[in-house]
Amino acid sequence: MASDAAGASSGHGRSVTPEQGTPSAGKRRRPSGAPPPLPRQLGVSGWVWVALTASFIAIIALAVAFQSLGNEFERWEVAVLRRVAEARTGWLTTLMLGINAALASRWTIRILRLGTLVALVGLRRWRHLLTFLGSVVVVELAIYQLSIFQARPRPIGVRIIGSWEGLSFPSPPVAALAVTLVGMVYSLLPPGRARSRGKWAAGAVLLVLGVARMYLAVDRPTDVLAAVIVGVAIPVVAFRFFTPNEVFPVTYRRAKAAHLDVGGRRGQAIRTAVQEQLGLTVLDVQPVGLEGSAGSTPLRLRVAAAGDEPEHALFAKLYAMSHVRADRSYKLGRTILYGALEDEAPFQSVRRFVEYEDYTLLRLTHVGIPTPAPYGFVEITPEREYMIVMEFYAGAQEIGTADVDDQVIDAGLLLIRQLWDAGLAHRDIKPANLMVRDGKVLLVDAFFVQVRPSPWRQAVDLANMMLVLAIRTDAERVYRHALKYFSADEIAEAFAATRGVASPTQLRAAIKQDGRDLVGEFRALAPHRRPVAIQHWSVRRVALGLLMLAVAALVVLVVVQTWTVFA
Amino acid sequence: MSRPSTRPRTRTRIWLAAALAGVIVATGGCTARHYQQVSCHNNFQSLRLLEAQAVPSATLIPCLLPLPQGWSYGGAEVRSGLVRFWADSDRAGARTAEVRLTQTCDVSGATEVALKAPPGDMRGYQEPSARQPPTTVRYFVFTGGCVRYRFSFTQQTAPALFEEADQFLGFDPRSVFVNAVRDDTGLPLCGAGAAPCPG
Repeated sequence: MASDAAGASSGHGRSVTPEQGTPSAGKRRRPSGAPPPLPRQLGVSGWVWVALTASFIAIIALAVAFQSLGNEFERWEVAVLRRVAEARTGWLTTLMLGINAALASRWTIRILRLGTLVALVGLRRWRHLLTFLGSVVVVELAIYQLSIFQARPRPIGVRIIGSWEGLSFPSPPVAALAVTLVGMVYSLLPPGRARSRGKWAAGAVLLVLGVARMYLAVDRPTDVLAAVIVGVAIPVVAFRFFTPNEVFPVTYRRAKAAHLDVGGRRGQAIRTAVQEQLGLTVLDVQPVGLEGSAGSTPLRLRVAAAGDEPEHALFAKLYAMSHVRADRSYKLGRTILYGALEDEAPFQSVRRFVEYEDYTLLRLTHVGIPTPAPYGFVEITPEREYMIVMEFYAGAQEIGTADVDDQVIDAGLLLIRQLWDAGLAHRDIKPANLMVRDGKVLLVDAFFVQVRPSPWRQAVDLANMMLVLAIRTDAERVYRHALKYFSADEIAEAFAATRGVASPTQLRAAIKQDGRDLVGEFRALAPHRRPVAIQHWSVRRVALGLLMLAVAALVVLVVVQTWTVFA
Repeated sequence: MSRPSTRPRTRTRIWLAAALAGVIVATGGCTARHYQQVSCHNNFQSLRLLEAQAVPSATLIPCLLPLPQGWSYGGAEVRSGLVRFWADSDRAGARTAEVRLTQTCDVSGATEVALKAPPGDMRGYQEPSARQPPTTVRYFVFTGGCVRYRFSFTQQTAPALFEEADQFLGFDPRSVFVNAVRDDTGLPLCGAGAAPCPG
């Protein structure tokens, strides 16, 4: 988030002392029962899909439970197909056969899917790619299992004039095309007009295919309807769940210009929440530094002048459930790959998430670490969306682009010393999180701060700070300054603990770009010390690893059992 | 919030994506289904109706009689114009005996053989046995359909298996299904033996 703060026009700190006396003007306590700033809403399309899915389940349950009802349904559907069959004419039949051959072909589906995969790989949109692939696998499995469960033959009582394959409910080609088109719409088209048009186009294509298959009497209306429900509902839910627009926007602009969804209802909700809960009037909300923040939605708020405070900017981070889930899977992955290096207990809710960052900010401020002054957090949607607000550093420059002199080196090293003395670790020391202003080093992004961290993590913080400083200067100079705040043994420990993955990706990239073997230079300067192991074995790690392997094996088994041609 | 470094993000995602893509591409064209066994005398089995729909002209529908010990049902593929199912043997391997129903067959290279009590107007043919790989191919031709029955062994290479495989292919008249569907739903099972269907 460093780049977010850089270049700000103004900055106003705030005391961490609680306010006394009467509440600030503009603040309003939300009365019981009143809606929050952004009420949780499924939206029209959400309710439509809920209704369709409920109908689908009801149809299956009733048809399975009551054979006579199933027969009645069959007669009704055949009556529809017979009426359609009466309208068959030569040219129309040729057209419908062509549509069915083109749209229901496995090759069409394959080309569309492979094209989407290639596009997503090219765009490096990994999360969308995995969601797309996962949706396809789940829909294919669901359709197959449903078709076996329902075991419905092709329409009876009307002449079938198109080609078909296997059982009919739900229609496999329609479902395959539906999940593919919806996946393309959600992973390739930006939200807004383009995606809306894409949805209509996908709907039109599915409608055309459905009509063609009913015209040819290959599928019944419910075969098509069920396939559309399954083929659309699963990817829609998956994309909304795993790639929410607010966090993983689909955009074709440059990353810095990526605009999050903070201009519509959410933008208004942010204004309302900040006004009511913090007593500040927000004039403008802009996403900033998106590329540097995968775990939240960073924003710059322009706040109106109030009292003796002029108009100024604030920095904010919007957190949603997707961030909690991402944190959970991140910690699980770390536990399996490295063991319990440090506290890997996941957060259970967004509220806990944002409360923790609020606490770490207050803690850092309390012990005198130069970090953005906290303004607290606001509730956007209860238990789903919260936003933490803090000072926006004015006139600060990211350390990666700032002049680093002896004063800055000392300030950076002192900052780590202060963290050590306070029993804290930042855990994400990298150029983007270190700002320089008036010769002082300012620390941003307190989310990963840990109280009473492991000695290993504290040592890594020191090594990462020294590396950041050395990139802009040289190892020998930084080492010499470091000896003012740390013993030679402590520095040796820091570089014994720091290997590869211990440094943030941005820092590793900067070292690689620099070309010098800075870690090697520091190790040569410090007393010799054997490397600190970062692989920690425990029963929990082994059990989790085995569990993950078992789940993976089960998935593979299901896929193989389902699809392999035994030959 | 940005992530500290120990996240093996991109590479893992690429591998995972590649694996999933492989699954999708590899399985996209597979057609075999784990349907229930196509058992004879099971007139309400969906798969039997599907068979009758696949080749609507066929007056006889092939099926499996109870399998002898050492044999198991392998799988089936049913689509318009084709029915195919097969049995596996614990001695000769998977897909050892395969049954294939189509509307017509080319029996020009086969010799007519006498059948014991054939149903309807069925006539039997057999191709000369192939030695490498050992294969036996028989045809059962009847009004509106033809069944090709292939074993991956010959009477000479596996006489016991040949004897067993010769016993478990059965046929049900299509009229049985036509009547069952009509009684159940009041609708015709379009094709041979049924009332004309609209369209």
